[in-house]
Amino acid sequence: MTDVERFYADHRDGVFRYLRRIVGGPDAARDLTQEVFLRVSRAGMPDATEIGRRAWLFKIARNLALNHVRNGHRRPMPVELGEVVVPATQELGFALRTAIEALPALDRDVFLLREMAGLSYGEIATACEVTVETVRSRLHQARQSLRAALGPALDVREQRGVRCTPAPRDRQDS
Amino acid sequence: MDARFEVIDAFVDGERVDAAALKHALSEPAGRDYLVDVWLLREGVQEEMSADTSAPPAMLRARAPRTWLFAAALIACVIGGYFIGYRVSGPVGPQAPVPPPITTTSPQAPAPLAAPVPTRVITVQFGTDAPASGGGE
Repeated sequence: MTDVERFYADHRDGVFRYLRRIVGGPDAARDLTQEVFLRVSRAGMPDATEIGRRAWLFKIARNLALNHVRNGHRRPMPVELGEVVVPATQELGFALRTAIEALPALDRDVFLLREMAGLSYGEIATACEVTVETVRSRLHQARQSLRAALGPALDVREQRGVRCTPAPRDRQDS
Repeated sequence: MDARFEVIDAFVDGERVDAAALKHALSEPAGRDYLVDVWLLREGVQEEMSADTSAPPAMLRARAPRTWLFAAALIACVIGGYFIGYRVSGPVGPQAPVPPPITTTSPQAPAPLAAPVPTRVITVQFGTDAPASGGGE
């Protein structure tokens, strides 16, 4: 297995999940995921640590996603017609999807890179070309906005209890 | 925006934080509420992700197939168009020279022949009969 193939196997899920939320449809996200790794294979793996490579990878993904959105290809995430009758256990997920859509672009990027791709603050800063302080502040801002938007749904969820859930990458690393 | 609880975010996200600042943030009821909500949010994201059945591409392809299909269709059209054009209008190449119209000109054309001088002149008068002895001569 080559470096690029191993890199692909390790990170395709994270890249896809992130792109899926940014560009909307799964088909576009699949195409863009392919494009991200094609660029990686063309450019060659950078001489950096795994953390540096991951940040570089998501920087490519983010730039492609921004171009895609800028060209007007973005489709909103489909919301099922039966949304009003979804089980209470899934209510938060549906509301969350809508609330994430409504976030400012950078806040959404930072939040998704953290929660869906599991990047560290330093990696997010590199991927988004901002400082770590900005990441810290934007992430807090995004969570406050989501919290405000999801208030009642979070209250319902709170009654069921809370569990310490690591972000995807943290779980994989541990 | 209240930045007092950024330390809670960083702690939840596995970043190294100042212990005193974290204790201070968690000493407030609002801070503790925030901590619980951050976990609930994460749980919601995880559930939303697991509910999404769409999967990433299984294999890394050399190139997106649609690009290849488009290129192949374009090449087929060009080649097909060339051969159709070849059959309809013949080979493409320099046109055969058209022969100039044939005109024969003689440098000294003979003058048109003059009518022979009459040897006998017959005068016809209207209103008179033809001579009796004549007719067949």
